[in-house]
Amino acid sequence: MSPPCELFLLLSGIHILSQRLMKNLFKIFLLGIGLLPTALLSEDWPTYRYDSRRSGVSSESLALPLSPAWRVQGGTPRQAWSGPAKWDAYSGNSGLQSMRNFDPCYYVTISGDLVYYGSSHDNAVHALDRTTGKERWVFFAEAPVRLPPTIHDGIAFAGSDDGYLYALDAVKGTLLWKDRGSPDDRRIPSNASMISLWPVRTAPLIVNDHLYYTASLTPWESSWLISLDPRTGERHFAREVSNVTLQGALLASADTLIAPQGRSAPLLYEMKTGKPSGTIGHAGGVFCLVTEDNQFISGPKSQKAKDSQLFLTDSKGARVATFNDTTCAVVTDGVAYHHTRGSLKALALGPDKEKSSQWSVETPVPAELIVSSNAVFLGHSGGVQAYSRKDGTLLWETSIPGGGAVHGLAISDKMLFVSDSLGSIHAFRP
Amino acid sequence: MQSSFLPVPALSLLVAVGSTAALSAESGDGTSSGVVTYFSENFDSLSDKPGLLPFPSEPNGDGTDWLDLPKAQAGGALKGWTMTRNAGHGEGGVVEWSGWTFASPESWAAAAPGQRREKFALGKNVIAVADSDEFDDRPGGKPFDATLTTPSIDISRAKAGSLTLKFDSGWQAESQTGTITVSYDGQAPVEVLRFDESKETAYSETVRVPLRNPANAAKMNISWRKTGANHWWWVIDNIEVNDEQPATFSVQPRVGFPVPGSATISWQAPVSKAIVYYGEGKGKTLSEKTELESRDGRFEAKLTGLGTATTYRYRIALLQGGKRRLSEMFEFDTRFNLSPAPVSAPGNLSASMETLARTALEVTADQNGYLLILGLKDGKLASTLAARSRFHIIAADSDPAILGAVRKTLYDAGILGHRVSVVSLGDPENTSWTDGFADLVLSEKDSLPVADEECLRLLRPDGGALLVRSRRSNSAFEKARGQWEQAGTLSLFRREELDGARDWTHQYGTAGNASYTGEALGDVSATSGMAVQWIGHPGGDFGIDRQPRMPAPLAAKGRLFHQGMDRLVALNAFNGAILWSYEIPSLRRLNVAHDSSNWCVDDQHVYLAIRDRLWMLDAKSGDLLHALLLPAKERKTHDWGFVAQEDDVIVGSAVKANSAYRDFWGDAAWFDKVGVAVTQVCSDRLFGYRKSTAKGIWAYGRGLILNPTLALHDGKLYFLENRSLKPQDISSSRISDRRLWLDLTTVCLDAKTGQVIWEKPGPKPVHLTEKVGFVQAAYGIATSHGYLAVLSEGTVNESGAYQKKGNFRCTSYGQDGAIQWSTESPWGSDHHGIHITHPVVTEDRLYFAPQIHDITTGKPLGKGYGPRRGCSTVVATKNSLMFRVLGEGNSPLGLWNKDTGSVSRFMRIRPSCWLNTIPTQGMLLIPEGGAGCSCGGWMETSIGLIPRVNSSSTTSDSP
Repeated sequence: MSPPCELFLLLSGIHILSQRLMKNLFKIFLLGIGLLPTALLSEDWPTYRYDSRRSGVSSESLALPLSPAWRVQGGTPRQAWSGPAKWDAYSGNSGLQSMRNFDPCYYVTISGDLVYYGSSHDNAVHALDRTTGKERWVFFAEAPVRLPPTIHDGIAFAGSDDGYLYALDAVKGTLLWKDRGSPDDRRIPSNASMISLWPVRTAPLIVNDHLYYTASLTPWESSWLISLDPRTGERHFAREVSNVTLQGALLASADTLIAPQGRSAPLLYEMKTGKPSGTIGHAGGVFCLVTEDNQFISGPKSQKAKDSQLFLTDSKGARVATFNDTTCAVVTDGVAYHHTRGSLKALALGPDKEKSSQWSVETPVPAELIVSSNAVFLGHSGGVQAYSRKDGTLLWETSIPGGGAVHGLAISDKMLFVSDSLGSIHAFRP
Repeated sequence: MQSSFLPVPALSLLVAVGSTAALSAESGDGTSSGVVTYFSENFDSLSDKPGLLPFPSEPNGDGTDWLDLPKAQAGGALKGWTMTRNAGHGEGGVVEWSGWTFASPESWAAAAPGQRREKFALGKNVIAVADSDEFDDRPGGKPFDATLTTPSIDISRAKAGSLTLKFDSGWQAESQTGTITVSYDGQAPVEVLRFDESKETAYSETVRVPLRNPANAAKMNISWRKTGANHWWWVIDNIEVNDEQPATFSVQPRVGFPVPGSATISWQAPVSKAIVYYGEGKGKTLSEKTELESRDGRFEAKLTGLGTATTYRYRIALLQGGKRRLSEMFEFDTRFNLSPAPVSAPGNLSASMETLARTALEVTADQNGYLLILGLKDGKLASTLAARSRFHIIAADSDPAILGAVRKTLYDAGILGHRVSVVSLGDPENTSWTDGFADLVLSEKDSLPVADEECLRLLRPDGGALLVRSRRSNSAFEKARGQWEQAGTLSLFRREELDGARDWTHQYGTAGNASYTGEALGDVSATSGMAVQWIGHPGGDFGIDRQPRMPAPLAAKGRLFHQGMDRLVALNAFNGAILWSYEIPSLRRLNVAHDSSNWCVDDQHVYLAIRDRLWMLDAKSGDLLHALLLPAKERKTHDWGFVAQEDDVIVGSAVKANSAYRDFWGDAAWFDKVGVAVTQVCSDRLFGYRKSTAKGIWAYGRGLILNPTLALHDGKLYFLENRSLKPQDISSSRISDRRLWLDLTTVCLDAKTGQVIWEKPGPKPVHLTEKVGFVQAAYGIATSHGYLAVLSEGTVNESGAYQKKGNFRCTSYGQDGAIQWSTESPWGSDHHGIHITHPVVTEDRLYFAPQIHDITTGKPLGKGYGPRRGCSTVVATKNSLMFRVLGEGNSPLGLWNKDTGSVSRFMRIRPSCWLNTIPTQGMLLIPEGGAGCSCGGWMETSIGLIPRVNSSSTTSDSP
């Protein structure tokens, strides 16, 4: 078979930061504008996919191999939406991809000695002892909690399908304050739950000491984009937006909020005011991340593409590149790690619009990719693998008991945390 | 006529005698097969004679790699086989893979490592290869189009319909097509199998194809044709033609999901022993088996330990007379096991709470839904109700301390969240819950902490109940639509249906096909008048796709029924709770625009045509109550076609076996192309059953009865019939013969007796002759106005050339059969289903597409409705029409105001291309039907919308 095209550079604009020095300079810059997690220096994983860019990049070096430390079974996740259509039979497209798969497992966040997750099974926010996995506290919401809390300044922020954002004492789990996204409170049946017509289904985002979240479900009711003071809950703004379905983790570039919508294009909002500033028309889905140089990677506009695709978009919303046959990726130090046609590849993104393959290794299809300073971690349908960032050498692998697919990975303080589709959280340590 | 009524299965009679792992369905189980083999070929002789040769150009061979057919035959092997590169086949490409060739599995896999060719585990020694992917690795290597044909096979000793083709297959799906055709005695080939995009990748599987060989056939040739380009391959091996008979069932298999992680496979067959082989995924060996015995032919296999979101395949072996007869391969998917997880309740109830719990479960209308407990003590009532039922429990109180304690208790018991939600009550005068969602409202406390009026607001219509200690009389109950009942020592106020609510019991609402039931829908005429009542399952993965014109969902007595991809589900119409579901391999029926639907319902039953039976299912539980038979004359040769019910009568029809449409892949399965291969499914016989006894009462058959024209209203059964074409002279009930339309009779039968009430000359097409012209669709609609016979005819000139237009031609027959009027209305267009639009009949109007006529005179009213996108079928409520509105938002579902002609849209709701949006139960119910369409950002979920006048919603956004 002819080699597949792995990366099409369609337009101009890839700015490369391929040197460690450049990365560090950039981090200093990002820290200055508040895009890095507050707890970066303490080796936490304080929000969904590590930071406000949802980068999945940890600066830690994880010693390999790892051994199981503990496992917690949180009950089978009750996802917000069913899977995608099996095919577009009329057009002859099969293998359609899910555009709204934002809650397939219990993603975790970590701060200090606690591991946090939200549960769609028992409608609660949980805090576990990082070392033992024992439950330290649990806070009960009134409907599913679909994404993990964001930890900031000792407060755990979590949204629920009951329509509220909860601010909890991160150590004790006590309620500090809560904020309902919509002025109205109406609960409707949905898949054996009573949910708000304005559920909070975007992981809380904190940038520049401002907290952002949304309350949204259908395009026929107004949705809400909220900004508030994370310490007091005092609102900066509450913007009513129409004809949208905000879901999946909010993320941010330097000055713009990005809100995924599932089968519709991600929306852009000015960070200071919440004023709509456009859409990324060619994109969609709920896998989104912002690269170090403010480029945006997200899924395709529709489920139509036979091959799963991710798009790289510049800061002006123009498409720069397409990753084919890929559902997740990580970009750091000017290198894109992604999986296509049976192989995990490391591609150096060059300033002259060229790309060069650093290495390629045959792997299972990933459901999640993150990186530490030394390895790429790949979660797949049967377990986890770790490959050397330098040359793609397989450093470590393990299967996951129970057979769940690994959708969530996180690194903190020399430990790896793995979340699977059956609702288990597995901890590994050297 | 006798029905096949058998008592409800006593499950204790069905004995599972063991479950053994690691046995393949192909490995045998010790029973004698007694099979006569007529032909076999495994290509293995090629490795000795003439011997495999080195690859001419592929780099990774080991020297014993490959042969093409000329080389094989030059060496004296494969005599009589032919391999044809069909017109258009690439003239260059990789020589080893130009057409069907022969190779060792290892060499073939080595030609392109890492692409999973090695997964064809059933292929041994030498296999036949059609690899368009490898062929295309050099210029001129596409397209691929080649046919491999067997020598002439002597089948003169075989009984008609006795033969089966069996072979091992490796198929990598994506943009390729494979077909198998059989030519008997040199006649035109008959396609017996088609693999296309609907066929998922199966790297290694055994395929069995029933050949239906005709009587007196002496010889046959079998051909495998593969087309495609740079994706991927079809490989075959171990070909055999034998008289192995597939298992046949008196009642086809169905799969239910009692609890998570388990499934039950049920069927009936006239044997006493059976084996179910099952396993995970496609193309793999069925690794598990369960053996069963039955004294009455009813079998139920209970499978446990199943994975989540997993597709399982299974085959059933029936053991009879020392022979094992295997069924075809079926499958079920556990992602549609939406049953709640069983839980155990901590602690015991007090006597009064025990009475309350027991009564609560006795008085609920269904077995799943939402129970609302207002006022808590310790939460034991909630946990007990969860443990004893499938309901989701909402437990509410105002006291934070009680809430905290109950949550902790239920959390520790593993009940919280997924089975019981413990929530704050909020304002007891104005709670946040939507109207009409609760199947039952009760309290753990001595008195309800919520005002009576508010409690009544929360009860679901048509059966929702408030359970209290004693009856009360106040203005809230006086204003409410409902009745008090005694429930043991307790009292019950049961809510009635919503004002103006109607059932949707048949394909087009009524048994008369009016596409209008009189549903008021709260007098709503704009989408802004509707609010979301529930949202959720089933989703986009449940169905087939939007285009193949599936049977419509149905609803009665607060239940919604919906068909998907060989599966159906029953939901609570008011809260979307899953009541029950089945995976039924034989369920699928498509192209109902040119056939009839396969089901109807009433308050108690679902009537479902499955192959040669009509299943009567209990609407509440899904239990199979009866499986009615066809008339004796058609019992072995026909399937159940049409079905309708009214009062105590069920009307059915017999169509020749396998005449129903089942293919759904590609634009051909849109059944939309104008003038192209338009066929009508016609019945050979009609018959009546009595519901109450499940006994046959009459039968009728004088010709070919056009299924879409069958309409039942007020004890009269109307239809169009052709009496000049003889059913016995026609092999299939799919009729494309133009003569069908040239001699139609309009018939009215007494539905209770089958006696002819009247018959009149039927409508005649204007342009169609035996040689030219076409009727695109035909419908029959029966209402209190009489019977409308509608032909949708394309306009052709004398030479038969289509003139890019057509007309709906309608003849109105009165109750006595007299023609009241005739009229015609031009097509709005000839695509996206507008030219096959099913008309709507209301009290005073006939809605064609897009014209409107007076129903009493037939006169056009000089105006139309729209703008309409086409595709979805138009249906009506009192105040509006419902269809896909052309324009903004990729033409979503919308409402057209009958008074003003204005339209409004439900943005991002994409209806199916036939009918999945039904106004019924006082709601607009939209089980998912459009997710497969890539043309917009569709919501791809099921939704129940309720008029805001019946909802507490205070929001006013226009959808």
